[in-house]
Order: sequence, then structure tokens, then C-alpha cells
Amino acid sequence: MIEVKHLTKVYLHDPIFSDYSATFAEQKLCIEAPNGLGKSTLFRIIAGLDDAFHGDVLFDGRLQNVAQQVVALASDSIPYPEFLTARQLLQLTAKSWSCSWPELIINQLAFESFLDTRYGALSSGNQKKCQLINAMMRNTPYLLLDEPSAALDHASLEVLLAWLKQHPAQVIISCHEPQAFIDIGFVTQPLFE
Amino acid sequence: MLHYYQYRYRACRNALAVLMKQLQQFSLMFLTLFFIFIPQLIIGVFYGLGKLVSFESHNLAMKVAFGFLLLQSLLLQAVKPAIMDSTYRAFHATLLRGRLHQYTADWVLLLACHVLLIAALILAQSIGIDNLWQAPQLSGFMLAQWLFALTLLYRPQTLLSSLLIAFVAIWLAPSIYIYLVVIILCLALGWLRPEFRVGMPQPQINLISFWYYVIKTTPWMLLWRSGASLLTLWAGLIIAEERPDLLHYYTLAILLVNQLWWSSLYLDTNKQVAGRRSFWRSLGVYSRLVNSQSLLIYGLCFASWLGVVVLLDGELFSLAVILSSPLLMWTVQSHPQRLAVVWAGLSVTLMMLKVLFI
Repeated sequence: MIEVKHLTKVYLHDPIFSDYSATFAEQKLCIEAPNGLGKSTLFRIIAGLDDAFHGDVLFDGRLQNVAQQVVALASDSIPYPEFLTARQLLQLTAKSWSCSWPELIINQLAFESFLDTRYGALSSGNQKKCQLINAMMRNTPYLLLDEPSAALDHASLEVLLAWLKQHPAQVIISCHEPQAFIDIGFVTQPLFE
Repeated sequence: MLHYYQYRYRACRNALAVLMKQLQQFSLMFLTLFFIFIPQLIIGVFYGLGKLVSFESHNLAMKVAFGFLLLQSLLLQAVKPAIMDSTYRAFHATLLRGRLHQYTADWVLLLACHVLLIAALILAQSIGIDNLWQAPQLSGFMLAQWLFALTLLYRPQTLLSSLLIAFVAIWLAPSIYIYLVVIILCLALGWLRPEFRVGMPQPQINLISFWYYVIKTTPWMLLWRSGASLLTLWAGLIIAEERPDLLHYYTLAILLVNQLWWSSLYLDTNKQVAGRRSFWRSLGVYSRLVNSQSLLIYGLCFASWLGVVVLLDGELFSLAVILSSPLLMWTVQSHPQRLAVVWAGLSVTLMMLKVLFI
């Protein structure tokens, strides 16, 4: 369970969150909100990638000094070094978090032939696959996927759904077309109650 | 087709305005600190070109020619995106049937931005077309200037090899005439040969080899700094011959100028560090990457400093420059908008200390 307490986040002079509190208790959760209300920002804060905010994020009731250790995030809002190949990016993650090479998920997503392509030269669908593999391979207790189905082809979406269905971690996604995820047990929750 | 040329003019003007805005602080600082030297700078350009027309030794003329070609390459590289409209170049194809108008617009804008060629043309005009045949090396040099500029636009790989050949040929060519013929021939051959790919090593990715990949992808950020350092060092070596009594002042100035552009490497590398902060934080290695960035840049600052100090016999006070470099590096990293002010403050302070106490 992830709890966000009294979160205040301001971009320049525009408050995105002002004393925002929410509890994300469901094991498989889809957060719903129109574009531009702060879903990606919230994910980045929960994942420990943005520390310019006030408030607390609790994981099963505990504060985490280094949230990245327990949360993996796949999001378009993380700009990857475009000149590195997908293989090099995944190797960096494998070395940084001492996790094994995600052979199975790479095969299932038919990503082998793109491993030696520069990230910047990948199509948007393959960039999304790279982001997803990068987060999924870490096997963290919390997994955040920002628009995981965007730009994915049908076969890859099926693979993702099958993987998520059996994955034991708490998975929180944001998605504008959540039906496929609801069908495998995801529960929707609005960003602002 | 007038609309296309109008578009290219507007696009170029807009890109130059953006560039000037980025350099506004530096332009103002240079104008404030060195405005009394601006006429001398312009005279210096014509003085250098004059050395080509009427030279004491062929070797000196070749060195001057190479210096100008290297300087023009650095200047034109900075404005190349404006000349080519690189960001929106694919858009041109939606307006044009062929490439003729695109190349014509490129060439006109290149000529307008090529201040060193314009200076050479002014000199040629003042000599008079009738008398130009008495100094054929000037015409040859202008041809080389134009061809080097075109190569920079369309075949940058050839430009690099041609500059290297031009540098080596200074010590091999017996006269300026042969020198110019050789470098123009090299350029022509470079145009004709197919583009080649050098098989660079692909080391396993880690935080050290990451910098190798950054440099491999954007070598220009090191190349222009190396070229600029070479030019300032060359200027220092000329001063060492002409006015050895003033060399210790100029050495300090050269060290400070080198310190400025090697420290400013932070601005380029930060696109991959601060600009990808979320990614590095997601790997939990952000602070280690920042440290490796600082080490890399300080190492390059030190190498540049050492080269100048060894070749120009720098004195003990030169240590002040390398010791103050971390302050400048911290400024670039934390407050990039204050870089010019801090560097100017540092330069004035060190100069004052030297003049008053050393």
C-alpha cells in the first residue's frame, strides 16, 4: 500500500498538488484523471525521481529514504540517453540494481532484434517496450507504469497483461483506456477523490 | 520561389537571434572588458591576411593560412545550424521540387555569415583585381576558405581529415603555393571518396565508459575546445617570439581563456547528466555520475593548463588558475547563468594580483 500525505508540488508558480493526500491500497490499481492533472508527476514523486516537493510518501506505512530501491517506474517522462542502445540501457539497470538479464520478457515482447538499436532511433512502440522491460526486470515490490499500453501493438499488450496478471507486486498504472486492465483484475481510482 | 528564400532568411535570422541571446551575457562581458581591443582585433584580421599577401617566410604564411582555416571552421560550426536551418531542414522538401534552391540559399547564407572570407574579399578589392595576380596565394587561400566552408556544411568528416592534413603539411610543404594546392586537392579527394565508418570499440557500459559513448556521439564538444585551445596556444607562441617581455601576462590570459571554455564543458555534458536526472536517479547512480563528470572536466582543464604552462614556460602564479578552476566548475554546475560574471571576476582578480604583487 502506498500513502501520499500532504503533498504540495509547484511548477514555477503553478501548484500541481496542494496539500494532496491519497491512499493507494489496491494490489492492482489504475489511476484515472484527465490529461495534465499530475499523474506522471505523482508517479515520479512516488518513484523517488523528483524530490522537489513537500509532504510524505509512505510504503506500507514506512518512509523510504531511497524510494528507487523499492519502486520501479516506466514512463515517457524519464528521458533516457538517446545515444545508448537498448541493450546498454538495460545493462545499466541490471548492473545498478544487480538484477538478472530479462531474457524471457525480451523474447515475449519480441524485442531481441531491437536490442542493439539506439534508444533515440527506436519507434515509439519499441521505446515503450524498452521502458517497460527496464522497470519490469527489477522485480521491485511496487511497480508504476505510466500509460503502459500507449503505442504498444496488440500482441505486446497481451504479453504485458498476462505478465501483470501473475505479477505479485503492487502495480499502479495510469491509463486512458483501462478496460483491458480492468478485465484482468485492476481496480480504478480517480486521482482526486 | 521568392517565398522560400524569404523563409530561409527569416529562419536564419531567427536562429542567429536565439544564438545571440544564448551568448548575450558573454557578448556583453567581452564588450565591457575588451571593447578597446575590438579595433585592434579587426586590424589583426587584416594584418594576418596581409601576412599572406606579403610574407617573410613561406612557413609563417602557411601557419597563418592554417590558423585562419581553423578559426573559420570554429566560427562557422557555431552558425551552421542557422545557415542550414538544420532543425527544420526536412520541412524544405515539402516546399521544393529539387535541391537547387536549397543549395543556393545555403550558399548565400554561408557567404553572408563567413566574416573571414568577407575580410579576405575586402582585402582583395583594396589590392585591386589587376594587382591580384601578383599575389596568387590570396586567391588560392580564398578558394580554400570557400571550399573548407562548404565541406563543413556538407561533409564534416572530410573537414576534420583535411584540417589534420593541413596542420601536418605546414612542416612538409616547401612553399605556400604548394601548401594551398595540396590542401585543396585533399579536400577535392575527400569529397570524391565514399563516406567511411570507423569501427570504434564498444566497451561494456558503466559509468566510466558512459563518457566514452557521450564523446563518441558528440565529439564536436571536445573538438572545438581543442581547436580553440590550439589557436590560443599558437597566439601565445607568436607573442613569445615577438614580445617575450610581455609573455607572462599573456600566458595568464591564455590560461584563463582556456579555463573558461574547458569549464563550460559542463554545459554540454549536463544535457546527459542533469538533463537525464530522472533516469540516473532511477538507477540510483546520479551522484556518482556527477562526480565522474567533475573528474572528467577537471582532468581536461588540467591537461589544457599543463600544455600551456609547459610550452609557454608558465610561472608559479599559473597555479592560481588551475586551483581556482573548481570554483568556476561549481558555478557552471550550480548557477550556469552566472558563469560569465564569475569568470570575469576571477580573471580580473588574478590579473590585478599579478600586476600589483608579482
